[in-house]
Amino acid sequence: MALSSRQSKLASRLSKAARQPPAAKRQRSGNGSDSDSEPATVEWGQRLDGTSGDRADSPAPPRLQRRVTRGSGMTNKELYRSVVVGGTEYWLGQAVRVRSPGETPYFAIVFKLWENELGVRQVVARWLLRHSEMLPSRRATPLEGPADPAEVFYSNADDLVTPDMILGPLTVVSHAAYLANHRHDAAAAAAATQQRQRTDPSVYFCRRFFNENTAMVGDLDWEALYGSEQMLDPVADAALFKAPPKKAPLGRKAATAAARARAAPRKPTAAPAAAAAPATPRGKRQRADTSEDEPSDGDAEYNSGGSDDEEKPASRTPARARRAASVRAPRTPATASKRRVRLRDIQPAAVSTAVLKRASRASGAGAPSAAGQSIYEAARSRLHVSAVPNALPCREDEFAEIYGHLYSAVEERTSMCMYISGVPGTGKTATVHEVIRALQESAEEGEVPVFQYIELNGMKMTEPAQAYSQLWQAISGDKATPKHAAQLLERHFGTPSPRRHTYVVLVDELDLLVTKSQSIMYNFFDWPHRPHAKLVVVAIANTMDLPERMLHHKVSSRLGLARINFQPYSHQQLMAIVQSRLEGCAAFDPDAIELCARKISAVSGDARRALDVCRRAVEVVEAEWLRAPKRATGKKQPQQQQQQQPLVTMMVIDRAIKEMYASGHIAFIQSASRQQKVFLVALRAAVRKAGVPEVSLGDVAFIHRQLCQMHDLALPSHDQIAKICAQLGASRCILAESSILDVHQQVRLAVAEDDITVALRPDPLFSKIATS
Amino acid sequence: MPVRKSLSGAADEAVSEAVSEAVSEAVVRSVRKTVLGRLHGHAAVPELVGLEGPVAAVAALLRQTVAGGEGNSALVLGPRGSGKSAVVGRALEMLEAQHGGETAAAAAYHVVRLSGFVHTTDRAALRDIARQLLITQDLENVLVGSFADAFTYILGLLRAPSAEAALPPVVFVLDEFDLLAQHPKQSLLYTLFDIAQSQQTPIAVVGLTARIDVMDLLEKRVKSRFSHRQIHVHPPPTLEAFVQIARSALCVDAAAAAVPAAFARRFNARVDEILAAAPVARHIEAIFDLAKDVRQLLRLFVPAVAALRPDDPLLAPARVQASVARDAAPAKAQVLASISLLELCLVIAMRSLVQGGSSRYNFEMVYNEYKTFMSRHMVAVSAGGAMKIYKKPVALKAFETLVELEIVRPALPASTAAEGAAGGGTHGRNDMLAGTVAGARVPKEYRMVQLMLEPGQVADLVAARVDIPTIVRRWAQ
Repeated sequence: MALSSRQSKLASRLSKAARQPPAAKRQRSGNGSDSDSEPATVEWGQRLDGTSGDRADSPAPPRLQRRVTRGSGMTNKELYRSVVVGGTEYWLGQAVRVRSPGETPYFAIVFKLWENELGVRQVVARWLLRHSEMLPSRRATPLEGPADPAEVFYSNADDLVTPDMILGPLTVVSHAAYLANHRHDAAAAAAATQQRQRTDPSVYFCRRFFNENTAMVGDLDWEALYGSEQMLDPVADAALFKAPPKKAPLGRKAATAAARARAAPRKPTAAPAAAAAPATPRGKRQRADTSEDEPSDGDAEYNSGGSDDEEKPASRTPARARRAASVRAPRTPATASKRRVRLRDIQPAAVSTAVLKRASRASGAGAPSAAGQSIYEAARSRLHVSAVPNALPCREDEFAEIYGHLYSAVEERTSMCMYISGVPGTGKTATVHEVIRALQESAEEGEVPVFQYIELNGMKMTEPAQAYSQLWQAISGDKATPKHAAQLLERHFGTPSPRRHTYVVLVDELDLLVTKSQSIMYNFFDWPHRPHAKLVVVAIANTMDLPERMLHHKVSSRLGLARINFQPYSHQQLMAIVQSRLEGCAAFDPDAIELCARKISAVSGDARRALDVCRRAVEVVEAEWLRAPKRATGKKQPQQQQQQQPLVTMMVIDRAIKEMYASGHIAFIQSASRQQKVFLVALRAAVRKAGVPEVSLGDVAFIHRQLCQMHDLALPSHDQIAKICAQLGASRCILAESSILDVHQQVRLAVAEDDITVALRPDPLFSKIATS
Repeated sequence: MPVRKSLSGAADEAVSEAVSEAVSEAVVRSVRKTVLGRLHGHAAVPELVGLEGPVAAVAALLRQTVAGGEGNSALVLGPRGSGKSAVVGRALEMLEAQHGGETAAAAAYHVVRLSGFVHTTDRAALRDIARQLLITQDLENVLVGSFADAFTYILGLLRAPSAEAALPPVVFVLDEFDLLAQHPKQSLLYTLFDIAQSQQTPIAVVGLTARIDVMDLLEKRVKSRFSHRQIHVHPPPTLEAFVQIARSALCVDAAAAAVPAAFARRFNARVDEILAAAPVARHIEAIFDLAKDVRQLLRLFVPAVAALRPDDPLLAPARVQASVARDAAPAKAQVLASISLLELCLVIAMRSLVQGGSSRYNFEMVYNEYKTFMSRHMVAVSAGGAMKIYKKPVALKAFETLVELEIVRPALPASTAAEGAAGGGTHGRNDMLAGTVAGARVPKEYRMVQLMLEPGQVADLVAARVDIPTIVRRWAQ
């Protein structure tokens, strides 16, 4: 009875709390020292080291501290055994109700109590999850049986709350005790679920735990756990979540073992096939046969993936180890070294499975198109920009760096910001996608906690504020107006909550989110700095110095120092990219690839361009081959035909580049009508005569008519000259003002004077005009 | 047979044949309809003269998308009237012959046509894409979010009912591509090119534009995603090809249309005859020399084709020649031919002011110039007595007539000149008359103006007139 009256009081307080804006809440929780103004007074109980509640300068023994996310000032924290909130004392390990922004409170175990050096009193709350709070996306194994509203899951998700957010005690019993003593409650609850009414039972039971990292559910003995020392002991705690009594093979070690086991059988099956293909006596004929080509394609891809397998960890491990060392330095040496060792032996297995998966996917995607196509078609489809390569060559360092940052952030459930810059076509987005793919595979293996990946693109939004709506929709699945979404996000990231993954948000084309007040970027980079947000923001833009050049200092300061610049590809890198895509497809003369790489790297270093040029070159050669007379018999004897298939040579590449990069001005002038040519010559003469780039149409018309008279051409009227001017202006061969200004409109050349000379040189008439 | 007598003499020998064949109303109507459609550009011309290369290039590109499932993008560049739309239209026809179904829904691919003139915002374009893809569901909800989301949603709806099937390819034809590239942020183009170069739906984006500098309009990210494939369409290089364009547009095909073979033969013979006749051939050559404007060429034949009747089923040479004569006459000279002597004098006065070095002038200056000239010469010619100095109000009235004809236009101050030009000359004749030109409250006698004629044109104008006194004629020399 006492409990229920307390509950009603709680409810009234709760509704009051819910009405308060989140900002006010934050402020209140920020200065815990003047807690006497609070409705619920907060006082410390006994200190953990047994002394009285007075401040002592001696640091707390480090072995009692769990790893915390924000490590500064750790040694000055005062740890306590209990806290008194509003007259009720709460001890470590006790189940409590915690204020939530919604109507129903959250449930948690008081896991740690401390006061940091700033005098802020904080509670580490370990969430007890209800069925409704376990989002389906976070659950790896489906739960059996109907959801019991009275069941809670013991999770290993911790969060910081303030003591004044504790609303009251919570009764949690074991399942057996629940069935024995609260059967009528259970019956009522079952009836309620049948009638689809939501009533909150007064007593909850716990029989299973939920591991946030692996998204695994397992059984536990609540009776033994609750209130015992084991609950607060970090080693026993880790053991509890690591080794579930049922469904054993999902611990970390087991997961990697499984991964290795899965990887191992694949290698032998694939390798003999690769070895066998060239070894067949009729190897040549079979290679020519397209249906036989397909498996060897797959092998080539596998092999490239395999070689990566060896290279990648080698290139990545030093960077990761360095980072791991720097990040984990403040931790106790024992755990740090243990973790590092584990990371190292996990890494290769994880990467190899990732690469293998990708290779199998790529060959699977390539399979239907590989059947019955010529080498040109194969080359074309591989050179297409959209073809997902097995690995991103020449971006290993960047991959390792981004992977390192994200891996540690996701693993430790911390927040971070990251800024990636680089000119278009240098593989920024592709690299991040690769990293995310690898991380997601790690998450599937249970190596890192499950996280949610959200991609926003500034270019694809109708207005910058849409970023809020899209992010909120991705997080919650609900639609909201940008303004409302901003508020919801603010509350979401500002308050503790059990329903929280790590979010990895990729903000592509960041520069388009720049608004006048820059509030959107400010928020995006500020949320990761909130204590409860597990938010990783990866921002991508083209300019290296965007934070300095365009952003306010308060924004660029929050962006942090994790910055990576993608250099434009050098010609060796472009060559490697094209070659890696063309592996096992002999359509190119090696010199041709080099020429293409050199030409493109000299202009832009844009990988898309290089691939497009090569693809175009393949088309040119293919078209020539199809046009050749022996085409008639070509289809019947593919193996013979294939021997004769011409390669893509340097000449072809040169042609393709010229085709793509030619301005078209010369061809345009050459195909223009005679009077248009005369007009251009007259304009050039008028510009030279006037000495300024702009002349009026009247002047040009005068010279034009003079030229026509001199060279015996039909004399165009002024109207006709104005028409010519308008036509050339529409093609932007010249720039002209509005034709309403008639003879007074200013005209200037939009093509180079040399272009005119070059274009008109072959024409005998104009060589005469030009010399006169 | 009531109407045979109206046939012209040239066709007399064919009369018996015509009667025996009885050219019916329906045949003539169908011929008129097809040929007019070709002349106006909404029906396909049977033969695209000299455009085989671009057609093959576009067709190959579309085939790769529809059959091969790869994303492609290309620009078709060429001056106005050079046949860009015809090239794309022909390529689409070829595609339909290979992959089309009986109905739009059964086709293996979809075609979406957008135009920079019509779709002035990305949102309007998106709405029309949805409409053209026959999607009617809850579009309003979708359009709230981001452009790309709505776009992918729309493309997602194209998925065949059998869920797992790949999305059907979509061909986007973007007319007036340069105008679409001037939308803020270029979201539409970014999204289209991004899809074309990523793995999602196979789409082909074909942009058509007359601007040869269109690549400079693209934002760098959009540019990087564009494949840089440019297909140039050039106007016909020779006069023969140019004439052939007209011939192929005018001739009727006996095999295709429901036209009697003999009639088609006669019709086509008449077309050849007209094209070879001296005034028409000369004018076609002039058009070819001037700007190679195919539209101008085809327009010549519209009146003749429109006048086809069962009793006169062949093109009339007289009509073609009449429209040639109309086309050749300079428009401005026709306007100027009818101005009064006083107005002409004012024009000459303005010309002498220009020659005196002042590029802009007001009515007072012009009238003063006119008065000085007249008073200097009145004495000499007083015996003739035909000339007299008009009073200022009368001259002002004549001056206003010139403003109304836009032979004289308000001169804009240098700073607003560019702006006025950009806005299509917003300060026009009416502003001048109402006195609202910048600097507003100036009395109209003192507003600065410019003459829209070159000195040479004034001389030509005077030379063309017969009814003017010698002194004026001499003044104009």
